[in-house]
Amino acid sequence: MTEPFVGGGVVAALVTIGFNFWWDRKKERSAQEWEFKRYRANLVHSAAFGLMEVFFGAKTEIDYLIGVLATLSASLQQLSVRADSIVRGQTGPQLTDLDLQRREDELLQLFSVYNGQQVDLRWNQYEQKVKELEARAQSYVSVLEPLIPKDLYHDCCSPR
Amino acid sequence: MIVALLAELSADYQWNLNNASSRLQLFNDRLPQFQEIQKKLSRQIEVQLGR
Repeated sequence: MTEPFVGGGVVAALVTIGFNFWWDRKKERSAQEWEFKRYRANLVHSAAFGLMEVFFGAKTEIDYLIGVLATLSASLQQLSVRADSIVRGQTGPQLTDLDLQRREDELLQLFSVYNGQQVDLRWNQYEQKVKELEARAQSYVSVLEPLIPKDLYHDCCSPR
Repeated sequence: MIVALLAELSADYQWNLNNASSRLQLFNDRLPQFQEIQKKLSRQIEVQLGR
């Protein structure tokens, strides 16, 4: 009378063990797949965020450069006006326009040289920065290529 | 698209304030195009995560 009951218990235990084994394996595989998906999605996110940083970084650089150089230009303009009034105040009406211009140029020479150096310096810094940003953008595009579907890559990233 | 955009935005140009201002304007003009690319990439992230 008890034999079928014991037999049934053993079968039930074996089925449970088998099911648990299968379930654990399935869960593990599912977790691994999810981690891999998350990893790939994070790479796409990092590349997309990096491209955004590059875009706004380059925009900020040029914005800053224009601001600095416009200020330098305006200050040189103001100095030029002051130099004109100084030269006119120091000299009589006998001086020709050409002489006045020459004296103004002499007075402003140091400022002009300084301004020219600043312009070159800022411009070179800007060019360097833009090259760095461009290289970063290219690397983000390379990261994206194997991670997104071909049609999306073609739509978003390939040169047109 | 993004490569062409980058090439356009980082192309060499003769330095002067007017040209630099034009380049800044180009950044502003291309912003919607850039945002469209960002949107597509964001959607792709959602797709990859199965959402």
